[in-house]
Amino acid sequence: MDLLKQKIEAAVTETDYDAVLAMGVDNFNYLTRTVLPFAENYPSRKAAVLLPKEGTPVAVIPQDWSQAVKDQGWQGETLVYDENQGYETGAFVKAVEELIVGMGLDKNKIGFDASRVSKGLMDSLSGKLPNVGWEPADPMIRDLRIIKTRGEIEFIERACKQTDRGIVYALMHLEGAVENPGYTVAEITERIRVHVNENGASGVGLLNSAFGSEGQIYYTPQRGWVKEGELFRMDVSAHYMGYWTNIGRMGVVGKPSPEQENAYKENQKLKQTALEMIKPGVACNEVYAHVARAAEKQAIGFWKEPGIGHGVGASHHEPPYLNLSCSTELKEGMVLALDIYTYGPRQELIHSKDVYEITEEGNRKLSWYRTWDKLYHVYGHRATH
Amino acid sequence: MKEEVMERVNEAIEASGYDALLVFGYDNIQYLTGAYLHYPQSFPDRYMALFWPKEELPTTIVPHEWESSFLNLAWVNKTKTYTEKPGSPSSIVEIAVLLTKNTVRKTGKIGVDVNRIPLNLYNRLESALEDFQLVPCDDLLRELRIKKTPRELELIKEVAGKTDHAIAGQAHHVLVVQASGEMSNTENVRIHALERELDEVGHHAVAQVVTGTNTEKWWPGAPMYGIGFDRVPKHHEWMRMELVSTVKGYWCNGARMLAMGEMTEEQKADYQKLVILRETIRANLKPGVKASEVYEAVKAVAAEKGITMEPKLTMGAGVGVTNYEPPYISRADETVLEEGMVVVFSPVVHGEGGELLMNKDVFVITETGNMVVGWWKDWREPFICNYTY
Repeated sequence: MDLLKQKIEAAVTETDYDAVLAMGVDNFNYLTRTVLPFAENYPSRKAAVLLPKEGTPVAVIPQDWSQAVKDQGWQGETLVYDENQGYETGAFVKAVEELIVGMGLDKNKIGFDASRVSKGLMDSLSGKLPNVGWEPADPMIRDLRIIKTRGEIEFIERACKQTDRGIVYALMHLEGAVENPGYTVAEITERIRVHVNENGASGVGLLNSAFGSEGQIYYTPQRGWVKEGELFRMDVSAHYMGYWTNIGRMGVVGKPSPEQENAYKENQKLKQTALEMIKPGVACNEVYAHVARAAEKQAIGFWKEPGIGHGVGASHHEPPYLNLSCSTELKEGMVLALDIYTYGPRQELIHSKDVYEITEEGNRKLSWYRTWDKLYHVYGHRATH
Repeated sequence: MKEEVMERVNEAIEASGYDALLVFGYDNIQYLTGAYLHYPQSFPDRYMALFWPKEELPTTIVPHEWESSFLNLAWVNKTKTYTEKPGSPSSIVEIAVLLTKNTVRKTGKIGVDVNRIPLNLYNRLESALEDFQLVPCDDLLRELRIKKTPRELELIKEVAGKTDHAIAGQAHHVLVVQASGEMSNTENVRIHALERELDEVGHHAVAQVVTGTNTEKWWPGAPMYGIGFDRVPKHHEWMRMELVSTVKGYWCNGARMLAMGEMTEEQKADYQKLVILRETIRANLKPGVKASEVYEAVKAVAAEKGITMEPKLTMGAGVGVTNYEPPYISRADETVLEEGMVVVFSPVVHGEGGELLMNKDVFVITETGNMVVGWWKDWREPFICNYTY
């Protein structure tokens, strides 16, 4: 990941800013190459990284997160702020103010992530530092993040393998146990999480198992029992050292009906259609339009509005987006989760979400551990061994 | 809970003089709609909003992919979806503007949660609603959320009790001679949480069990948070067991200490520090007292007794639709405590061997003082595991 460090340093050096201050959790993780413990769930606690054009970068963090950042190899300085020095983000603002003044940057131009920092927090910061020229640095950060280094892609590939293995291991617990002693949806979901971690992932994010009619929508609370004959969907996002995959898999409990099999085949057809277009030089909305045309021609219904995929990297949902509005041209080094929703016989949402890197020639599947070209059949009788 | 919250919100809008609220924070939206979706905060480029006009029914603006999931869980049943434009909040702003212009008179006062809305989204909104007054409504939301309704308190008591029970359930499996590694113990906490129908989804619905030298850190396995490693605890070491969990989107933070066998004299003295601090806060948490005064009272007792605490952290916070929210037991929080507020007291003290020792207790402020909720056992002593079977 040294290449990433160099890439970030070069980008900061080349900007017009004298420093970049990133306050979004995903941007912090990316720029420090560390993962904070569940920071996005603490809206009133903040962490930031200040990357000066000249000098040592500094991470500004609460005390209980500081050791974790150091232990992950953070090579910059660490400024731990005292949360008793201000109400909610007040202590953080005070620490950032002192840091910027201390570094002599209080009359300089500083880029920041305006798409992440709240209006209230930015008002406080600019109020304390009125002579700083604050400028949104989101396009610069986006451009940096959207093209992955080899090391980043390797981490995402690992996360894909860990996640697929986790899903398969969980399914193996389910097999033979549906009728006797029975299996809850919550338990299969938890099994997935455990096995993804056991396979080496460093965190699980989105986690959803949807059985039968529950699968008609994106997410429902994990309740009820696994039943024979039901089509089911398993959606998991997980990371390896802060690099995310986002995978969706389908199965059926027992022998699939012809209608279920056909529905899955239709989804696979559209996926193949999309893959023809996932290559350098093609715009995201062209990929989307190509799939939309193919779906219409083949009379395959698909859920248009969410689009058909998105990037993954330092977050599990990021640019580029495979939808009608995104004109980003695909380039080598981008990584996409291809996600086409079609419908099952009971209007269940069907998808087979895989992750691909854009290569010089086209694309390469990173979630290659298993093909998933057919519905996974969960079957078998109880046996102890 | 729907009626309780809706009534309070409508009264608050009326009293504050807002013509509408326009709310963007995932936590605020959950509070106002009742829909616990565990993932919006992990989609930083996706936006949700709730538009709540005075004397009218609210509407939620939501990405298409999440609409049906939201409707399945919310008591707000009016939604508008938007087509996402990557990297740009323009689509959600278009809907918000449409709703505002159709409902609120020109120059009307729109309350926005400025401590949640991203700056780029706010700037676009402000320019599209230039005829309206956009004013912060964070204080209104804070006041609403900080005092729990009876149904919210029931949920918090339930989650606190189940969290403590899940931790104790794991503790019962621990034996000095047959001890298993941290990963196994961590998973045992989660299994016991699951058995009690605590929600296991959500990135930070997490358990952590650390032992011996690993207790010297908050997150010894970073970035493998809440996964645990292979370290097996030894006789007379500490085991710290933590669980962050939720019932229907209402959160609790739990942490308890387990002694690997009968406590040594040093361990007894170390644990007593946590007991002293808990008794101190128990004596000070009551209506009419400022949160900062409670902080100072605990700090003074810690200094008097020679108890080393982690100095740069608050000593606790509220819980509700997040697991860290006002009031804060902090020098900086001037909130005057009132009946119905909730505080998770979370002191961190240093043990003789440098361990970070924790006990997290949930206090509900009552009319006359406070009550501890959720204790599965009497935590005046830690869980002491048996030597063998």
